[in-house]
Amino acid sequence: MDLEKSLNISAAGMRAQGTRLRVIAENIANANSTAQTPGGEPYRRKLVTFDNELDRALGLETVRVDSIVADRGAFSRRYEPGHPAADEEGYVLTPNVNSLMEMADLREAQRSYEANLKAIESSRSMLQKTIDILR
Amino acid sequence: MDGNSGIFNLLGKRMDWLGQRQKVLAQNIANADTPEYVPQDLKPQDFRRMMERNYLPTIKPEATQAGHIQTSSLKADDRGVEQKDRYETAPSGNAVVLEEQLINVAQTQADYNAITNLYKKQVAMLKMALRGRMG
Repeated sequence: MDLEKSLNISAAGMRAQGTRLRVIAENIANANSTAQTPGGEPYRRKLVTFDNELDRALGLETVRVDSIVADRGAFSRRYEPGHPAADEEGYVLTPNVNSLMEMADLREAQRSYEANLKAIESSRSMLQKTIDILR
Repeated sequence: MDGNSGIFNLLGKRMDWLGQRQKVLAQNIANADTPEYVPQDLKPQDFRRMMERNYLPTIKPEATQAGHIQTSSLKADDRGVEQKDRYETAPSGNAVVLEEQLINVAQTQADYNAITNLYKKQVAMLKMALRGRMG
């Protein structure tokens, strides 16, 4: 039935947004993770890409997380000569995580999640109305 | 009695259409962050055509062999078509506007409520006629 299928689609959307939230949390948690040795790389920001996929069993297009890729943006540097990962000039590479950007991304993920939730609520209420006809 | 079954038929078709629309809208919302995704919607239901199907005698080809393709009345317009007038398109090529989709969901839900209520009223009227008194 279509209403039940729409529940499936919305659930897939929520799952995808949940994965995205997980990756954002990872980025924020690692915003200060530097390397342990000179020349080592600090934490690299991760990105989530979405893709629509045809669910053949259900015959409809759902969404899924396509891949989690590394952000190729440049690392920033900080002057800290006493740090174990500092180079000869005393600079330490810091992760390319911008907490402002992460927060904006977080809000967007939250908003999409809520929209999916609303769609589920609406489908559920429609199903309930159908069942209520029998009463 | 013929008129009654006609009305139930119409209401059933309308519910079917609304259920399918809900499915398509859920798909749009789930793909709200998918690059290159263009939202879909159903073609509006044509009341005149529905009436014609219900009340005019229709000629239907008879399937005399197993290989003949059966025509089904409903499946013709249940597929989503790409939305023509798009509100805005993000740089990633995604053209889903959550607000617009949520309004459509709310509208579909309200229509569905109306239709199920009509269905219930019709059943109540039939019951009243059978019992010969109110309630």
